[in-house]
Amino acid sequence: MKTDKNIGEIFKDNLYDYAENPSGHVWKNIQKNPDLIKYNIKASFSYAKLFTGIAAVAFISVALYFAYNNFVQNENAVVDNNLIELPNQKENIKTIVVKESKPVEDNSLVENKIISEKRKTQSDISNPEPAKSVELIKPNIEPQTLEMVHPAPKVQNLESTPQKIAVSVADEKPVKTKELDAFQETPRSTLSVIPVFASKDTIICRWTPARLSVLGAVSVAWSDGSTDFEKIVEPTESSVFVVRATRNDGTDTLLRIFVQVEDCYQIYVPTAFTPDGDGRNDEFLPVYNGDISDYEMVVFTRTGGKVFETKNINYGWDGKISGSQAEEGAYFYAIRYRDSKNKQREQFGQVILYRSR
Amino acid sequence: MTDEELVKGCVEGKSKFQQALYNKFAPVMKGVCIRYSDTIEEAEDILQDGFIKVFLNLKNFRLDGSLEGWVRRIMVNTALNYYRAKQKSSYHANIDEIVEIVEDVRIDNYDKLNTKVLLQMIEELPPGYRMVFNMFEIEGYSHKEIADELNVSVNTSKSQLLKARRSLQQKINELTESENKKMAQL
Repeated sequence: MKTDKNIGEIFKDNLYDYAENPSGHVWKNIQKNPDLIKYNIKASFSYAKLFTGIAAVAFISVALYFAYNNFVQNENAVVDNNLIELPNQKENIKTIVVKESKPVEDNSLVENKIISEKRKTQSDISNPEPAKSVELIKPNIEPQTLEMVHPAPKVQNLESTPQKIAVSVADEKPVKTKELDAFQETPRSTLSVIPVFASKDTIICRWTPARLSVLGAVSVAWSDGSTDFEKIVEPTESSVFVVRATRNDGTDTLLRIFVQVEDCYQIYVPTAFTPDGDGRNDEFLPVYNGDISDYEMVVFTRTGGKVFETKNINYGWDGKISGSQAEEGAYFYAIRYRDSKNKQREQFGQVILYRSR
Repeated sequence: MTDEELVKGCVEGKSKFQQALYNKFAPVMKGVCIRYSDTIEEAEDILQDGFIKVFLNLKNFRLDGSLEGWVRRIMVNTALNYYRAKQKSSYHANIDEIVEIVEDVRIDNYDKLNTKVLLQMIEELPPGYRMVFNMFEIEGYSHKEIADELNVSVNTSKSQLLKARRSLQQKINELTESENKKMAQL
């Protein structure tokens, strides 16, 4: 079959839809792309979701609040239940239930009633319906009369909480008392936990060390693996040092100490120079970084004679005094400038002039 | 899933839709990237960058156009960025700008040529020829567009295309000749 086609058409026909499956890592890399991750988070964020979230949080906290209240009430009830288990004390159950439903102000009054009632029921078993009798007694008896009827000091002490009532009842049942004591005096950890402290966040000058320490820990482990309680670091960039400290009770805490590094001096002055024309260190020229203004440098001999003066930071001393070569030895310099924060700074020091022979 | 649903899901940042869009277009787009690159690795790099651009810019895509065409355009642009970056890093001799009359090269027996072989031929072209040939013949750019994209003159684009065609023509001829020889031997 003979065909006649433009070369471009041939390639287009064959290659326009040419497909080849890419390797798997391409899609993985696309998914890992930080820009895309950011975009997806932004794009999928919506106010509707935010409100749903807030509503959910609100609902859960309300639910938790009620759950907690129930829990507290149940805890009180538990104490009562311990007593309820005893068949002999059925009457007491009823009295206690009655008591719980009373408002707080009435507690002392009601308790008194209860206890007096209990005593009655136990001394006089022939009493047919104790619960009812409570109901009947309640409105009739005045607080004063109750106190007069039953002025036991114990009752005075045991006013506020249901637990205490439980104890008072248990007093009459020695077997139970032990259990209750055990319940109330739950052994607590007597070990006092020593708090752990670490150095505060600090600011240091670049090229200077910082001392970091941890107090109160039984052992520490820094992020770099060292286990010293005190550590001297010299970060060249601001960094966070992380240390895991173990308290004396065996628990761990993670502490972070932020060390901010700042350029305290923006000018570095060399300590020597060699004006011998070899192209290396031929000039006495401070090195600077950042914004510097109002720069001024003066170089003196040891005797105080001024040998060089400039206001141009890029212009250094070539080791000559009015055209002739200066002697080898020490010279003094004074530099004054304004740093990047527009603060005036001064630096003084000495520089050695060498000539290689 | 229709293109419309795909675009909507991707714009909303849903990973599932992005993967669906990727699965739909990645193979063909890899085919595009191969034509514009020197190696498979480079092609996949372009593919990867191209798809990230697609996802980040899909919100600007208007649904009245072809999604595939739009994605393809982004792939070609990404490939051209790679090409330009490579050109900067390596010295390239100036391209002579002799304009020749573009003759219509015609091929016999083109149906013998298989896709892989054609792809191989494009791969073997010098990068400059390859870009122009791909853009003009396959993606359908005009010489003006090519000149703008590659930062060359329209005449350069034309002469590059011509040379690319000739080179391909020669390759095809060689191939058919060897085929014919084989046939004769049988």
